[in-house]
Amino acid sequence: MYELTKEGIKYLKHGLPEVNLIKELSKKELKFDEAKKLEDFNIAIQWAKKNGWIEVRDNFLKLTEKGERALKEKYRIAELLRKAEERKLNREEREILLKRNLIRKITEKEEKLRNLLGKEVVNLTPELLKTGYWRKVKFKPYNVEVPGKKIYPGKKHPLQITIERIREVFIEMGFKEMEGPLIETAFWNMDSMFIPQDHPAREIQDTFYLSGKGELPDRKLVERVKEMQENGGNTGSKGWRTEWKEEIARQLLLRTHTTAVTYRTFWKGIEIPGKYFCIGRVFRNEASDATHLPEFHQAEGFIAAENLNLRSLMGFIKEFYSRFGIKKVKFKFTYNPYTEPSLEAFGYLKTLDKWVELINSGIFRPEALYPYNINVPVIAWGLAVERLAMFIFEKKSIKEILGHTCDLEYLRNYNILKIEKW
Amino acid sequence: MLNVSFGYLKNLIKKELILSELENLLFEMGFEMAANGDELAIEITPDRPDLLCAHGLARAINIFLGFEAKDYEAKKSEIKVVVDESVADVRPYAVCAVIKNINFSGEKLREIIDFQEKLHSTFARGRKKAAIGIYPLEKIKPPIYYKAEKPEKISFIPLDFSREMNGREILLKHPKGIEYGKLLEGKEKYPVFVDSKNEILSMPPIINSAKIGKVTEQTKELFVECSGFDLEILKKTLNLIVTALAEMGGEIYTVEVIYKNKKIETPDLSKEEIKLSRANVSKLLGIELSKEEIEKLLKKMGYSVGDDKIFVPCYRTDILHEVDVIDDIARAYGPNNFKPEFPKIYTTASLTKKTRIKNKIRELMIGLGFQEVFTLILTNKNDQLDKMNYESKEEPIYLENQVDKSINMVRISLIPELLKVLYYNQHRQFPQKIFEIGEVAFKSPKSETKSLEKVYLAALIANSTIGYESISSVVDAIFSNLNLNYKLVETEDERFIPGRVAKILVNNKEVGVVGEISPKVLENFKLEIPAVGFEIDLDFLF
Repeated sequence: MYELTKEGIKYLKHGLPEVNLIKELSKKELKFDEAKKLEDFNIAIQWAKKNGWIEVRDNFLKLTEKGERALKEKYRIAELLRKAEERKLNREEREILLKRNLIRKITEKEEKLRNLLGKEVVNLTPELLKTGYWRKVKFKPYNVEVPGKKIYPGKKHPLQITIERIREVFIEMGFKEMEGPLIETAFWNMDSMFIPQDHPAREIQDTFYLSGKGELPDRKLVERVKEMQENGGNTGSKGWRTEWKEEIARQLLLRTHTTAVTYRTFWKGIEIPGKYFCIGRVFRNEASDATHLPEFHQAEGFIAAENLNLRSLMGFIKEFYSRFGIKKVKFKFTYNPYTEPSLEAFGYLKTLDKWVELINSGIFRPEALYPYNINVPVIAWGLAVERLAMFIFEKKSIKEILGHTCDLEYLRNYNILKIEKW
Repeated sequence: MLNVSFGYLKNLIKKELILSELENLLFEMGFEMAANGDELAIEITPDRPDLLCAHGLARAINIFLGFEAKDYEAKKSEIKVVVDESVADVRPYAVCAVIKNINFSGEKLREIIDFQEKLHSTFARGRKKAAIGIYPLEKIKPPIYYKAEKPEKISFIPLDFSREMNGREILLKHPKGIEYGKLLEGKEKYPVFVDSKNEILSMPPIINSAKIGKVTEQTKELFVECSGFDLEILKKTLNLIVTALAEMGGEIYTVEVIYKNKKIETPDLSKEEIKLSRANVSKLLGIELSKEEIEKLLKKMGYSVGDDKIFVPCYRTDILHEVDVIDDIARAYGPNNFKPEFPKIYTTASLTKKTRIKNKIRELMIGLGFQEVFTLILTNKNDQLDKMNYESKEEPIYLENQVDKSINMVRISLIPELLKVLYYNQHRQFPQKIFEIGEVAFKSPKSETKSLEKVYLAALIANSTIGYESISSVVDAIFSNLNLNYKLVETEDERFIPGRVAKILVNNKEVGVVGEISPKVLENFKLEIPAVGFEIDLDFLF
């Protein structure tokens, strides 16, 4: 199928430019510059010259004899245009008009589009846009009130959301992040912080011991830790009054708390005043139940500065939890071998309508700071991240928060703003 | 943990308390309580073994409520204990006491035996540091000898048995021998207490004699001993027991313990003086207290105060340093009477590079439409190696003595754990696209902790129609967005379908693997849907 181009339609209506030119010249001679002002002059002069209808002399356009004759005869191109409109062109005639770009081939696609004119269409297509036919079609209305089909975005895990919020809160308060290994020596996990070598928590039922022995750090530190463990060093403490053995300190284990990271950081050297935190996995050799797994994440932090005291520790904990929407906090004293006083904080949860334990904390004992030459108070705390995540996301089992026992349906649908408004 | 009935405890407390008042009071003192009807379970922190019996707890509560603390005094008994040199290699020290006029009616006998066992398992570290023996003095003919004998020569009827056994038999057959036998393991001689008629009282730290070592409700006079390795610790242990017996109404008498080169009178009920600076109190607690206020608070915790001196009760074992006394002041002051004050200290914050990089990778994976999961680091060889048909080039770290028998190793790969996630979610809509960024570890003999820890990224796509290209394009997206040139090189890996697995190389170094999970592996994980996946060691980014 063929149709007239825009040019073709114009010439059919208003005559071909070269014909119009000679018609003008038949009325009067034209200066070249005047002729230039005529419509489509370039096309007109090109074809009039090619046809031998005109000549240019002394800057005037003049009709030739052939031109005079042409005025009286029928012009073939004009004839063909009329035939094209009636779709009566033969193959050879089509070629002539195609060459002058007065007709063009209609594609099948266009053919189809044309059939749509005035009708309802389902899809807006690039062709409708390109051809402008979109103006002439109607779009079939949808039932826009039907909810969308389910699709699932890639999402962070709720535990990650909790970890990131904790991290954010620490960063908001000026804390530097620390890191340390999961596999530790008993030295860094226990001895370094004044946990006695016969402490019950060291026993197999609480700690995952691994085969082999690790390396102890710098001799000077080892000696100071030994002294502090056995007799309290020069801190005025009695120490634990039992022989401290390197062999026990070299035992390899899976860290039971992130305080091991704090102590590695103490040894590397800290800024004073300084605030530090870390979030990482810890391991406890125990059976699993709804609230316990042999591993979980702990978030730990400490502040070392002059003039810190029990009230500063309480103030920090209140501020920390207020950023998680827990405004009512109360405290209970507890016991840790490396902090004194030691505090547990409880928070009132609106969702459960009860008080729950939130965090374990304390002020490091002088013996626990002695080997590191830290001479300012250090307040510190640690919390179980899964426990907080379970409160926030209202989950009853830790297995829904950590481990392969997760439910993709839940992960795909949980409220990403839950942590902002639980 | 102290288990006691409310009715029993209430009778020992000098003020009328209802259950909720007791709970609040204990909470204020630092102890949590759970009640099941009349039965109470009170969590006692390990620093306070003196509270592991009802009379000890009642003593602390009464003093806390303002009732006068009892001053313990010991009268002199004529009883002597001779310590033979032969015990030096086994269990070198013993300290002893005598209790008269005890009345074990009601629950008291059970309470003291329970207390003895609790002290054994906690403060005495499974009888290692101290073993406590309590005997009916009426049946013993002093003086008493503490000596070591060859196990074959020791012969007596142990408690709960009806026939005589020798030392070795007791270790092999008696439940207490089986439980505590390791404390005598390898010793040529075992320790015994014998009386002047050569009758065996007990074989510490294992068991008493049924004949002259069994205390009954009718017993009125007691011989008490503590054996172990450190005199100071033994004296403290003895004080814990004898003061509890004194709280039950018994009278404490001393015993002369004769060593080769010294004689000591025990128990030593003297109170130790401790120095306390008022400045340190306010420094640690952030409150200003007058001398009088401090004294009042200390009295509430059982300390004696006089002439500007502070004395620690003889049954307290946890006072190592001034801070321990200040902690008691804080408890007496009441945790919720402190005004919390946020420390306004300016410092700059920072995240570790590892955290920052992991966050970026996580963002990319989420952008690629993957759901994040968190699997466990502790897993088992069956899942990690056997079901995967995998032989690791690196040596895994295995667990020993794990309580939870479903685990036995530290993971070396995330892929098996992700396959388990798929297994748990087979009824959920497909495609399932999951990923994890997590730690794995291997043995590494040269490092400080003999292990090498790494951070891996792994992802799986499970769908009824899925192929290698679906996952290689994800790998491509990752490296393209890191502007890293990488190469996929065909490899052999039993975890994947042959011809559909490639190792991932960056700068000609292998950093990961990508492919279609082998149907054998899928079958092992009971999966009925194809899966493709990759795992990349992210360490080269840190």
